[in-house]
Amino acid sequence: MSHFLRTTLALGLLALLGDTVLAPLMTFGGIGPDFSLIAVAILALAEGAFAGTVGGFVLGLVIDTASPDRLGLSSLAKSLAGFAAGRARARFNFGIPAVEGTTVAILALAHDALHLLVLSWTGRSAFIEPLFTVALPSAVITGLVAIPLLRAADLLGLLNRDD
Amino acid sequence: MGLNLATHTRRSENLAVAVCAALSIGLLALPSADRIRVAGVLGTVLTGPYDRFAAFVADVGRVRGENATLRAEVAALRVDREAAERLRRERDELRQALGLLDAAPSDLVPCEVQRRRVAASASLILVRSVEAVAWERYQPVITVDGLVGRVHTPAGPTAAWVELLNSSGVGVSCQLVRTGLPGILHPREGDEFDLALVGRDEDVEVGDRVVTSDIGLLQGEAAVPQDALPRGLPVGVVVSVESPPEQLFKEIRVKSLASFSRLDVVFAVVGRGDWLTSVGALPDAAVPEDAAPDGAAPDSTATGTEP
Repeated sequence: MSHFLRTTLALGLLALLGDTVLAPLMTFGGIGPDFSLIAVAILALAEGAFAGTVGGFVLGLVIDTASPDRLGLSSLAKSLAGFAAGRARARFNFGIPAVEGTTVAILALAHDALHLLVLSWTGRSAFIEPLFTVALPSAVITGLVAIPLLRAADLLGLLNRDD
Repeated sequence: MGLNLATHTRRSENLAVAVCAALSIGLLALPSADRIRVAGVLGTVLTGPYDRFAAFVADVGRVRGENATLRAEVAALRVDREAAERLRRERDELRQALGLLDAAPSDLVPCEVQRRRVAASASLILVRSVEAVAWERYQPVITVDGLVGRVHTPAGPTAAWVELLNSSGVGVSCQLVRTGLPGILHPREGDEFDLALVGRDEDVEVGDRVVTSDIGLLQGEAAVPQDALPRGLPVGVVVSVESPPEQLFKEIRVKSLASFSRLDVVFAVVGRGDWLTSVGALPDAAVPEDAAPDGAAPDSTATGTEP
């Protein structure tokens, strides 16, 4: 099995189990980690911007099917997040947890900000208040949860690519 | 995997994000009804396999739980069966010690009807079995429907004359299944019988099933004791019940389950205590001979003579 396929399957499983099993246990008041975003970030850091973009789009579509009224929103936000993470890969310093966590947190904040922006643009949500009361704390938690997962991915050899 | 997404130029990456963004925005721009329909299709394609897998896993968990419950029930039933088996053995031992006959016939020997003799005194058929049978007088003979007669005279190791139940003068000790009431079955005409000696106030209904009773019958002036048939052999069904005011007993008419006019293959009932001598081992071999009830001793001299 190729490295790419292994990575994609492992991260798909992470997103699936994380969002369906772990996230409900770690979410309080709508604030919790976004495992699918972490999976997209790891995929992009491991395989590059193209894989991150496509992977984010597919994963976002899967999430969107659960809320048809927002169909396309998660796929847009996650494909852009995967693209950004893949582009940042060249400048990324593997092995420093604080950097890894902060990078994913910024990615999560940008992802959620885009979400809120589109929702506020269509008149379905406010922007500023949820950005600070929900998106920011969620981004922090997502960054914190991402640290051990990125370390585990690194230990499993998913991030060791010299291409 | 043939598609390698890891090595791409910046141009292809930009193209990918542009396409994905355009598709996403296109989906967002869809009318609400179309969006829901597309989401349904995508859900079937993208999450359907996972949903089915999750349902399968849930089913496996449920089945495992059920299996655990069933295993516990099976274990409990096995314990119960062991206890019942032990009680049955104890009952058999006690019955043996008391010299009681086993109520359940244990084996049937198929026999072909070869000849028929109808006389004023008795209707007889000659039956022949493939294997040797230790014929005994009054040994019951049945069809798949019910009792048809009893051995009258052995005619060799594999043949015997059987007296049909509708022979005049035949009396069979019977009982009603529903109430357990005993009575004596006498032939009337054809396949019909009278069930005598049932009190006029007893509870008997049309449709009640009649089976043999294992109570012996003393019949005739000579009071010759007849061996009791095994209890429970199906005989007939009550077809009419009357209670004449001037009589002490009911007039009960019983229709035989077995047909006496179509007898091709019958079965000799063997394996019941003292009946059995040659087919297999004696089931009650441990019973001392002096423990057997009167009249139940096997007749070891199969003469082979015709009646």
